[in-house]
Amino acid sequence: MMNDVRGGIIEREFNACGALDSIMFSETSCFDLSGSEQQRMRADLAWEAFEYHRRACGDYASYVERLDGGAVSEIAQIPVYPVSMFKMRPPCSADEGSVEAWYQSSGTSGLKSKVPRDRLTLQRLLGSVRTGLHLVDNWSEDDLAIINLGPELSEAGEVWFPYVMGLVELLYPTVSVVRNGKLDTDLAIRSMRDALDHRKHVGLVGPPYFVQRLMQALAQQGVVMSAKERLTVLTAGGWKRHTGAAVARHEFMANVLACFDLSSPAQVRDAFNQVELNSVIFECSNHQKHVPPWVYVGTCDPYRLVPQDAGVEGVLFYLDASATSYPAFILSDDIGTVREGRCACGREGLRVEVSRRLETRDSHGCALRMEKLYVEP
Amino acid sequence: MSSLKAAESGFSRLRLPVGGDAEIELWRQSPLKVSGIGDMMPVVVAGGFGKRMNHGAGLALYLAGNGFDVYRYDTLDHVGLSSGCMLDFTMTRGLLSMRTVVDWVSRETGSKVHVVAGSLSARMAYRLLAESDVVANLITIVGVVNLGATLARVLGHDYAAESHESLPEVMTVEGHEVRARPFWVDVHENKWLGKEPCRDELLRSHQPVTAILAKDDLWVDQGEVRDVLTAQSRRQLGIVSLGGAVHDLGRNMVAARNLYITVCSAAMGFEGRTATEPEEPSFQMVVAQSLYETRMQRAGIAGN
Repeated sequence: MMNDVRGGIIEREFNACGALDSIMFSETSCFDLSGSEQQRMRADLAWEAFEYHRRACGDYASYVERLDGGAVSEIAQIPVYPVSMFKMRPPCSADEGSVEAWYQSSGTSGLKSKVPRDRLTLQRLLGSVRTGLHLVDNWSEDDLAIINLGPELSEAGEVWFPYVMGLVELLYPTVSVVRNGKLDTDLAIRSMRDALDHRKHVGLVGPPYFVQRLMQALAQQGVVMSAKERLTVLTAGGWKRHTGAAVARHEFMANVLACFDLSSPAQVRDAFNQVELNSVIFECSNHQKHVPPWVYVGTCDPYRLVPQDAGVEGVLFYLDASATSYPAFILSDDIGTVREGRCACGREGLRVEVSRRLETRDSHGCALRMEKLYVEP
Repeated sequence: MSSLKAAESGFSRLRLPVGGDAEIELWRQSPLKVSGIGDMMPVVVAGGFGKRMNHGAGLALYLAGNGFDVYRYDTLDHVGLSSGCMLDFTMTRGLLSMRTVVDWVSRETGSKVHVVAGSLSARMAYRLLAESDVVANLITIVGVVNLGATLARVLGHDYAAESHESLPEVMTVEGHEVRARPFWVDVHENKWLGKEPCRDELLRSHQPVTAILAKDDLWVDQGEVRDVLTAQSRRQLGIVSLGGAVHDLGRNMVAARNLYITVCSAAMGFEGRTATEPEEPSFQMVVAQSLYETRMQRAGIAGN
């Protein structure tokens, strides 16, 4: 901060936000930057976050020392925590007083991940949602009506995925159709019709299985909803069901297109997040998940845990610089691939494809947790 | 989540008649903290062009959390819950809205008021400062001082320099349609254009002013703000420049937080509370209040 007195005027100047926030909250989309610009930002922000958490989190500093003797020369070598660490001894880089809440993973049984988030970390989560939505469309607040196949924020509590979905209401008019703990498909159908009648574009947001339940309800009631180009279905939360069966993406896409009589497959998108990651990663019209420039994603060999080149399938790890209250440097339970270069949608930068989950004893997803909570009797 | 609760108890809505059938919707957020502060002047917050009251939820909560009685309103002939529609927006109707609210709050509370005005509303507030004896001081946020120059930058075209006849039926300003000819007549007849009228108004006023600027503001020239403010050297003046910020400060939640703290500091400074750091409401509380107000605003719009 700089204070100065010039001609009787008290002048003060300080930075209202850092580089990451300027990128995240910019009026122009960070995904439109060139691949090399994104790469440079990604590297700068990852190193900055690494140094910050090393100073702010004693547990992480010790972990780094133990793993590599503290020597890290490349970004892909920045030590990551297996997500199981967040179930046993969650790392924290913030003072207890500045932690707004400890958010829980969607585990249905056993230990759950717990992640501390402070104000800045939560603001940036919301920033990542707003930025990511640029990949879907550029709706103004008055153009879009969201039907959230989840509870509203006050009912979501500290269960991460419903909480993130509930935050969307800050951006757009939203009807949340999980009421008193149950998915209300009648309310969803009424709300969708009402929005379409008012010439709004409808954003249907929820886990794939919930969208399936809504489509079943439409079929049972014999309701035909021809939304054409005025509906976008945005799924998130994973593709595995509570019963253990997976929702098949291609089949799901075909069903959604037919059920709502949509004009284009580009109207059906998926987004990825997990409680330990602070950014939501959205798909473009080409169904590629574009990684924002404050997140580094890589894969490593599942047996030796050695970082691999882009294009090689492996265990996904993330370095998310947007979290200040904990080191969001995580080795996930997912198998996937990272791609670089220009996407068919025209944008450059890093993309991630999540293929499947590693089969672990406690394997589960957010959609699964919501299904258990809000759909199953 | 127990902390996810809006400050509903201290929140109230009023409708102020303006003449004819027109009414101004006014929201009041009473102080959330009262002990150990003593009497302070109320704050009237005027949002920028195209902003509704609920966009000021965070700022109102920060101010109320530091003991201020906070009033917001939607301008007449503007977006929001007051009478009229945006097509008919003029600067003079905006000033009428501001004057009506400031006078009413002053009468109701028996006190002078702090005015916090954003962007285009700041230009109206500079005029009100010269005309009103109930405005104790002014805090501007990315405040416009040269309307013609700002409009030219926003629109990419200097409509003010055109002849009345050559104007389009409507012009689109930040996504909102406004009838160009009535607006043009108003800004010319009532001397809203140029920085000279703004400087003259400041010369006729004496109240303290704090101007909060965004360093990367493409619509308001910081040099012009300094020129205008320094015209009257006898007043108490402050300029705070926020690095990394752009004109639409509300868009960047992190910059907005620093803005709220800066506004609270300035208002507390005007009350002589310079030694006290502003207190912050929790993120959950700001979210809950924003949702509560946004739902109310959206329901009101749907009902219109």
